[in-house]
Amino acid sequence: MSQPVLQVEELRTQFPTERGPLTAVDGISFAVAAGEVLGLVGESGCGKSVTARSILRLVPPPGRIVSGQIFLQGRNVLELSEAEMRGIRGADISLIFQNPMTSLNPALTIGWQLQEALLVHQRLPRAHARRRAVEALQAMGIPDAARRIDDYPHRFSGGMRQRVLIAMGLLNEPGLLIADEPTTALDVTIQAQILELLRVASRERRMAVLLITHDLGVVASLCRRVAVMYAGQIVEEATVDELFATPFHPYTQGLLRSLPRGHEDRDHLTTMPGLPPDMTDFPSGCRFRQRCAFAEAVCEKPPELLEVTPRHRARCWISQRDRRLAQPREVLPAVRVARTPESVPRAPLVELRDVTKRFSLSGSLPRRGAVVHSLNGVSLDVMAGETLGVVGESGCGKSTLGRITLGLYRPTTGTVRVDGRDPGDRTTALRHQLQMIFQDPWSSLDPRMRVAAVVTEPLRARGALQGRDARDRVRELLALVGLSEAMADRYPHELSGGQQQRVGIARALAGDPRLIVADEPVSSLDVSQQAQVLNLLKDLQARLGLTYLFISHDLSIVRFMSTRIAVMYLGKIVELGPARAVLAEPLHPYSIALRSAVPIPDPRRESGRARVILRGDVPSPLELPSGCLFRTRCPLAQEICARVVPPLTEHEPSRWAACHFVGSFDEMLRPTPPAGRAAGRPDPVARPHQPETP
Amino acid sequence: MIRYVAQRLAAGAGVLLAVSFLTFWLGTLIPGDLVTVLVGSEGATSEQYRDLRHKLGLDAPLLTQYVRWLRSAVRGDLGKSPITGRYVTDEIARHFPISLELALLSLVESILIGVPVGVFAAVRANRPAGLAVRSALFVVFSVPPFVAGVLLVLAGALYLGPLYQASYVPMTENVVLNLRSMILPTLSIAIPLAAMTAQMSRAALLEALGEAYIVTALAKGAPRRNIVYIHALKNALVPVITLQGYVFGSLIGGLIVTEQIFNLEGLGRGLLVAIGQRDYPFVVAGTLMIAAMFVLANLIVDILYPILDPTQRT
Amino acid sequence: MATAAVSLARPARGLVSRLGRHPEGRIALALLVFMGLAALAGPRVVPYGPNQINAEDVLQGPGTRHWFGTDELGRDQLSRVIAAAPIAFYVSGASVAVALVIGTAIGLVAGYAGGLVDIVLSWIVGIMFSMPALLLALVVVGVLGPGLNNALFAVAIVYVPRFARIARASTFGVRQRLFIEAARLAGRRPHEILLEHVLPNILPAVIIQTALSLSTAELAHASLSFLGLGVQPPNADWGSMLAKARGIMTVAPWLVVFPSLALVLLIIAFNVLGDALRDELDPRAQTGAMRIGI
Repeated sequence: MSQPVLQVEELRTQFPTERGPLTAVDGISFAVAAGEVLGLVGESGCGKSVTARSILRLVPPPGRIVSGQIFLQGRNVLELSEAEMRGIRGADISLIFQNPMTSLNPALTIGWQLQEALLVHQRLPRAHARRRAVEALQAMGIPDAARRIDDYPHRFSGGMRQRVLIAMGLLNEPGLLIADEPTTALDVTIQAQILELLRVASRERRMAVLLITHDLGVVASLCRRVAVMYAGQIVEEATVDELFATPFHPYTQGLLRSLPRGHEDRDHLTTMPGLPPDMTDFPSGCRFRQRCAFAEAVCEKPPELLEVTPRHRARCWISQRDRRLAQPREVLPAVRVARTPESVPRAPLVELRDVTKRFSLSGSLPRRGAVVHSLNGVSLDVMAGETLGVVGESGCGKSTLGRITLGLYRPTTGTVRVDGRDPGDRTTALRHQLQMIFQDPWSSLDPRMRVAAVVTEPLRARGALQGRDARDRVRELLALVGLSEAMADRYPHELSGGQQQRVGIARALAGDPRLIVADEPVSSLDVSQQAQVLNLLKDLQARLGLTYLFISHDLSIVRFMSTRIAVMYLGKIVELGPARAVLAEPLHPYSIALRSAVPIPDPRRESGRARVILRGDVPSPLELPSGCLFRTRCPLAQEICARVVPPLTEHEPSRWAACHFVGSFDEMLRPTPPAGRAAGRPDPVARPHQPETP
Repeated sequence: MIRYVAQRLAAGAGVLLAVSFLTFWLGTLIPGDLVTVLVGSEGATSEQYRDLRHKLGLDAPLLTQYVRWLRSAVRGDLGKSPITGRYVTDEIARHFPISLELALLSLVESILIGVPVGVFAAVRANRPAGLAVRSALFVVFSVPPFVAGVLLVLAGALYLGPLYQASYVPMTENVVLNLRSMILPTLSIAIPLAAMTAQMSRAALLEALGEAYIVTALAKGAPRRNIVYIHALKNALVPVITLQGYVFGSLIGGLIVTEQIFNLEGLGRGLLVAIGQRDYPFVVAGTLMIAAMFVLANLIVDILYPILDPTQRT
Repeated sequence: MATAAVSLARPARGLVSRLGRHPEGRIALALLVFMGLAALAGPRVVPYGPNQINAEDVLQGPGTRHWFGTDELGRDQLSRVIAAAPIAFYVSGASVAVALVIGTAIGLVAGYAGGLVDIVLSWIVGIMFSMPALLLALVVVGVLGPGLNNALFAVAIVYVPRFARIARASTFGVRQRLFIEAARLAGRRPHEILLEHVLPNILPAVIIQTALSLSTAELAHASLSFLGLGVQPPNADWGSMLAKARGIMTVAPWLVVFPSLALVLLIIAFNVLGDALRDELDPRAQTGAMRIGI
């Protein structure tokens, strides 16, 4: 077998801190071959980004690589001089970062930045370099490249910027591409575009790719092999099929089980107790021991990363001994979570009619008078006791919808009624019945207030609770959300993200609300904490008879939580119906594309899927297209779509869609041959027992 | 872009109008009015008093007086100084060039000294040289212009003979002597301001060096000089330039005291004298002139800003 | 309201100990304590009165009897320099305190209310900003006449817009934070939100601005005093001492050196304090303007 492009052995990187050295990367070893995509998966803080930076010797000071070897095409990178290292960066290895919005220099044109990537490695005439840059942009699908090359980064959307960055990374035909969370900051349909680009690039150039991500769906979609990181170590490594089908490390198993899978019907998600260890003070023995359902006495000794079955390694005594990992006994939830009812109760709690909301952009001088069309005619009922999921990408107006429902914003036109009354009217007694759970738990808590004060704030407005009553109420509320009484005296910065979010939930419950708008409540949490919070929300709904308006961009989570789903695009509802139906058989082209764009964390299903990849970017909410707002990206757009706005009509009982062509989507649904997938993963040795992929 | 400039100009004009009114009004509050000063020790009957007041237009309501002043002002007539008897416009014309030269030279010097020092301090931020410069900047920044001026005069008289030209020589007479006479005054203003600019340059450069796009550049294999002097500096210069608007404001304060120390017949000095003499028209005109310089400096910064910072362009 | 007071007191106690961890903070605090002590205790301890005329010791250089020398009236310079210290603290401290209260209130209201209120207030603040600091102070003193309290008032007026601008900018930032929305949803009224949520969270920016303003306020005060518009003779004030010493400085340089030294030392102390506070309260790099504390 030919030499791997990248071979890492026992890499160890540390950061000095006040409390002692923080070992971000603790002796990891892996290899990536030409044409192969290796996924490095883990939650935040596990050390994967530091690994990427270490390979390029760009660890942010004061961190440093303390031991190990890194071989690039056989050369030991750690022994090179800084000048030689500079020659490698951007030429033999390219690194693409997470946040495209900040990764380009705002003061230099993208053309200049692209050409720099070429010119630091070879002497080229300017015109030649410019031509190569334009070609690279065109290869990445950027329209009008010859003109846009002289633009500054702020004129490009997030997806476009990421394409520019990828183009920049590929300019010098590197043998290895490291992509650190390349799509995390992007919308799902844009993510699909970028993943396709990476897939094609890796295949056509026989380039080794190290893909770093926390998203198991992305892994299933793009990678051939996967390594799972936890607390600075690799705890499992296998082909992608094997990892998902039969994980051998309890952490991997836990991760997979805590994902809400869009196609399954589940009451609740399995959660992993506890939190990852402190990176400055690792526990002795296996680092996952405290959270592990399988832990035994032997786990007090640190396990090695060894093969459990051929080419499938795991760092676990149990699986090494048994050559398998059992399904853990289901821990039954303390409270029986009622099955989310499919049938919808009759009485509407919230009624929105033809709501529009426009915001004017003021302040920025040259564009005074510009107006953002956030909501463009929304009519919706939310039934008492149900969970209405609102799903859409950034800019679709879902957050605005939530806030209008609560009376935080007034609609520009149209009406909002909650329980027959206007939520924006301060004189009604509605205030405490309408509450919100926010996206960013850190920002939603006043850093200067203790938890007890935060949680009882809604009650202070009514007339202060005194002394013992207040303390009792605090204890009650904290218990409802699963926090101990000891938390009452802490400050927000002393809590984890999941705990902060629970405090926010407790605050929302303080006034006995009827309607709670949950605005992306788990987006900023790690996968393991997400599951806990989602279970909690479901549990509370059953116990307290709450109605939820659940806003999210994540289809699987929305499917898990909701009775019905509304899909939004550019301020309009394009589809509405029961949750399972909307996601299993969507009616609207955008819903189809959205569903297709979400990578399923199951490689067998992911590989055979039809992909509908939308062209271009979402139009700006400053200037809406005429007619159907989706027509600029719709593969089926016809002339009528530009003239007539399709109304939201009931095509089947309780199923609404806003499109002229519902029911005639056969072309759209014809599966594009998954050519890339099967051809890109020839590896007979790894799959002796695999059935033929359909 | 044209629209933007026009908007800023209009805003500036509005500000000046308000400033003129403010100063005019403040001027009327000065106790011991003009007439008393004019009459002086001679004394006058109350009737003569009233006559004089009427002749000078001082008994009309405030707004009328202001409008009257404004109408002549836009025609270029800022009134006559009742103290000297000369036209205020001429007086201003006499004082203004000196202040202007002082201001411009000091500003240029402060930038030419400040930016390189700041860049040096940033590039060597964690080394002894950089730390030493940083501490030095604190000290220099804390020296008020008049202290610097006095100390420089002292040093000049005692040690710097040839460099020090005690009295002012206008540029129209002799350029070399003029510049020599301006060295110490401009330095006394420029040095504390240079320290301010240096601190800002250092901080802005360090901040730019901490941004994500720098890591992108490093990952491309870009050499250090590209990173510091192109990637980071381009971004760092923006706040440095916008700071100069504020610097100019400080500078004007420095002008007033420096003209005093070095006996330069600039606007600042004239203003001080006029306040003492209750010379309204000059006080109003002089203040307005200085405020206009300040507004102009800020206008230039406002116009430069979109040129320097691409994200601010349409 | 009580919660607001408690949450305001909390930062103060922790702040001093946090400052102590920075070497800069330590220097600044040490200098300030030293000068503060000199200001408080000094005048009682010096052997000569600041205005006491010692005819036999006219124009003496620094020596054992007069550590800082004497002036043309034989007045002991050490006593005078120390006597001017409380004035310096008083003028800079009081003027900044006044400006802080008024300016922060204006900025808070403008930032939180937005709309017409903001436009009007910002316009007024903008006008005040368009007058260079010393000029404005000069005109105000020109109107009110020279003297200690008038100088104080003039300096305070100059600083109101600076605090207003910082408070407003900071309020904008805090206003976007989600806990403000949560407070609205909890049914709190606007003035409660302003006092309990916004004010404590803009404190770091205001504190930094205070320290930096102290230094430039002292500079402004000294300039006014230099121009003869501050404390009137025969009372001692560093600025006016410097002005008077100009005439004879070639023969008696110590008359210039010591008041300058005292003045610069105090300004350095305030500046270093401001910088240390900024590092402590906002370790994340700030936008350009705030770094120099406009």
